[in-house]
Amino acid sequence: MENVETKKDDVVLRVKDLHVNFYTNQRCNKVLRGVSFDIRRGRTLCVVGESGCGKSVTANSILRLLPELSRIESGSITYYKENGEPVRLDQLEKNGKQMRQLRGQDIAIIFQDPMTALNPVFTVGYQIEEMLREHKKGLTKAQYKQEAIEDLADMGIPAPEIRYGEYPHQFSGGMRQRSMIAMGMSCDPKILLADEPTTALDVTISAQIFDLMNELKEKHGTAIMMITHNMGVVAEMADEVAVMYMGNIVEYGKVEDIFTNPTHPYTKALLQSIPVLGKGKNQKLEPIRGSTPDPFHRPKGCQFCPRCDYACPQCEEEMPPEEWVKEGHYTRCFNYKEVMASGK
Amino acid sequence: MLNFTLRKLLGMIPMLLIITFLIYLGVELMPGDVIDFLIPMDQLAEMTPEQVQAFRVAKGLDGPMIVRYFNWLKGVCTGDLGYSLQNNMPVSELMAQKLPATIELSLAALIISTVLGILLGVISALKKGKIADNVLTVAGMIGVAIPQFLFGIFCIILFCLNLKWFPVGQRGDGTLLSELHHLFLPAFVLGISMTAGVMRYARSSMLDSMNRDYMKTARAKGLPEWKVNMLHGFRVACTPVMVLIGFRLPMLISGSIVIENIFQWPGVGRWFTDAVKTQNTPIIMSVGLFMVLLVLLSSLLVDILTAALDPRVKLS
Amino acid sequence: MTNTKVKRTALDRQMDKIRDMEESGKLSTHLTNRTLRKLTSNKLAVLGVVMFFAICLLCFGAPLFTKYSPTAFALREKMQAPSLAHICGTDQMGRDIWSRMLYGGRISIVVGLGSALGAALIGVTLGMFVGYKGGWLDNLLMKIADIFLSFPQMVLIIIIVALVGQSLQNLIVIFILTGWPSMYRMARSKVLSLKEEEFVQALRAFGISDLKIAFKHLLPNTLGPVVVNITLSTAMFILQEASLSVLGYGVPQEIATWGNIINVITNSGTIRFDWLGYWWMWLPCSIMLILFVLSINFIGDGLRDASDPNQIG
Repeated sequence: MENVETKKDDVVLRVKDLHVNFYTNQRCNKVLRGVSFDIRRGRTLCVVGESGCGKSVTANSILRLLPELSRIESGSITYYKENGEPVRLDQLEKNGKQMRQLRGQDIAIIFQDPMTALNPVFTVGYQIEEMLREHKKGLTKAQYKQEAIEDLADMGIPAPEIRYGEYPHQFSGGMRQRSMIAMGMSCDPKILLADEPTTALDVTISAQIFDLMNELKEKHGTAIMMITHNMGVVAEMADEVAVMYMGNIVEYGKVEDIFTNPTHPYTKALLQSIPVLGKGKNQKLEPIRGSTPDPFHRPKGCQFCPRCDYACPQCEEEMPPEEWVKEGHYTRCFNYKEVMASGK
Repeated sequence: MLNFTLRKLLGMIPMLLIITFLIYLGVELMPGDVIDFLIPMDQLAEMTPEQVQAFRVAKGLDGPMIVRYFNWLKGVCTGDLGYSLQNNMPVSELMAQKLPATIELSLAALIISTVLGILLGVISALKKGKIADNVLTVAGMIGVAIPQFLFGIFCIILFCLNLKWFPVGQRGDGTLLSELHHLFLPAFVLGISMTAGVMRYARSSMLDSMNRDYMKTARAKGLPEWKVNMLHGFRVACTPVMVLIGFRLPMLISGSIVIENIFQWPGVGRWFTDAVKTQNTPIIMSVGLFMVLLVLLSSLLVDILTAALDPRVKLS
Repeated sequence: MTNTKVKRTALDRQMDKIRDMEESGKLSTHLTNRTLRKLTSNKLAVLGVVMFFAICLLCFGAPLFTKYSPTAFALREKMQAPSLAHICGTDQMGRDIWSRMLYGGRISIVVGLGSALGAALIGVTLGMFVGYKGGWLDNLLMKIADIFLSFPQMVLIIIIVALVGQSLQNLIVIFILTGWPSMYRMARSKVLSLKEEEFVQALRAFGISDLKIAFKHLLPNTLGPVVVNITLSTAMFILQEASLSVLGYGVPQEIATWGNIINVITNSGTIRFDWLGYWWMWLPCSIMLILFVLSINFIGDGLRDASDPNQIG
């Protein structure tokens, strides 16, 4: 039988050494090259990285929502149910009964652009009810409607009875995202995957959405995995951070550790390239030199090597393995000690 | 909605006037004198100019063109479509006999082509790249390449003469079964190239819909694949396809002219071509009016269907 | 444990193959020009090109392929079934059908292609320039185009043919007359959408004349859909010519065209059932017509797929 990781404290989902390939256009694109992380109950894991590094693919892989011309090559995704056996999500049939039961009920996902993610020809109320009808069978029509309205109200949407019968294009951006969250949370999932939920929204609205998500975490103990490319969001929301680059997690640990003591050159470079409020206009902003490589012409060894200030000959030959700096904090760099030593 | 419809209908009137005038002008300019079609040569040779003139007046063929046109227009408004120059029967009566046949044929072809086209197009999309898709695509392309009359002849040879499944042309004798039996083959043939077009459009519309984000959201809710494809994918995909029903109706009317001849279908198509040959003005005008009216109404139908099926569209 | 073994499907095997090829570095040397790649990999389009040129060769190089004249009749040899002397037999006037198919094909192809090109020339030119300028001329032309498009095509064509009489030139003119409005609308809508692009503003700011903007800069952008439209219109006109011949409104019967050959089995519309048995008089020609139209459709489709930026290449 396949190995199942034994449960450690409050881990709800464990991803280990995940490899995912995309096969579009008759080419093979290795999008994820060995990704590992844990999602814990009542805590937020932020996955941060540039566009194209594989963040969304990670979230989609968990729920097996990858497009047809792609597959999980190896690795494991284990979901630890509260009462019951752990489930290997990567080994379930992609759209089979078991996976579908888990979708929405145990693990829910919200997407970046609620305008395209919601179906334009159905009312918002109908789309929330759809989720309820799938997982909470046996209620009457009126009960479903009542629940849907309550879900909308819980997310702070005013006049939910009216909003229930309206279409997505009649909502404002913030309300649309709230209704997506309402839909996602309607069946009390244990894990919420949020794929850049506020990228398409204004800053003030974003703040409201984040407050909402923190509330969920506290009230329901939901585990949250938030994908973002914005370090500010990470600082605000994260309990744990996973920094991704070109299909690998290059650094993973608690948010305080990562921010105060980054061990990977990429993390360090990211932190140095962000303006900090209050530091004034003379703060040094250092953009990362070079650009992300073409996915079909990748460097041989460490993916960040061509742009790295700490590179050494070994980096060009092989990808560094996961090195545990301390409990719960790993990095993938041969020279991490140097990075730590060079301080701020 | 009502407001919009009324305004659109009113807007059609100028167009109708211009077009009917142009048709009248066209008939007027046709070479030859309509008298030649009405009175046999030898008789004409024997008549005096006064007799010919009296004949003209009796038939309403004298006077300047504009006057005659307005007379005709007046007639239309009161429901009098004139009399066939050949046999003096009231056009409205003849119209009442033949129009239903053409409408029946066109509607049947519309229904067959739309239903079949959407069905096959969706199947093609769902099985994209596989054998079913390739076969259907090529079949569709062949369908568009065959002239309708030829397809009609092929079908008649195969289904009527050889297999004897269907009667050769003509309408049924009144009972529903007989009507359908006679209607099916001509309607199918009339709609065949349309079916291919609808199928292709439905396929690309469905593929486009299946690529959208809301499909992923639907899956993420745990819905089974068939619900995702039909409820979400198909529902959005069929809107543009259905809407274009409006544009397809006139094309069918156009094609019915040929098909009615092939299948001996007693509709306005054949009547029209004969009337053009003999410069039978009242018939040409009436049929022309009806056809143009239909085209204009179809674009109105397109607008209404769009608003009905897509909640994002508001009729302005 | 809720584990299930993952099944290996045919798709899996395909993906394995691609992965192995990628890893051994074989895939990066593929054809880089996306359009060319899509065209050549579209087998139907290639087939279409082959069929198209084959038939054109047969028709325009007719003397090479047949020794008979399309109009020479020999009543003693009428209605003969296909034989070594006559590949497709003879018709009711003793004329060799194969030669009529080839020479007739010339006319049909010229009618189809010529009308499509003519309609495109007028429609696109007007659409580009007038559509770009806008103003009262644009409104007028739109109204005229709408009027033309308000007629079911057959009705319009029949009326005009009755008006001006049947002849080859007339038919081409009529087709162009009924074909330009849709070309015009298509070109115009493309121009209108391009007009708002910033590069047009820049060109205007540089003082470049409207004429030059319309033809040197906007035209290349519309060429894609225009070419596709031309191929599909050609097919449509060839089909219409055949239909008109069947009704008796096509090219005069003395001139051989595909439509005039096939219409032996109809008597201005109604089928002559007794002649259906003489299959060689209409079936081979029908097949040639269908193959030719099919080949044009394949090519047009291939062009459409290749030039459509929304399709993943």
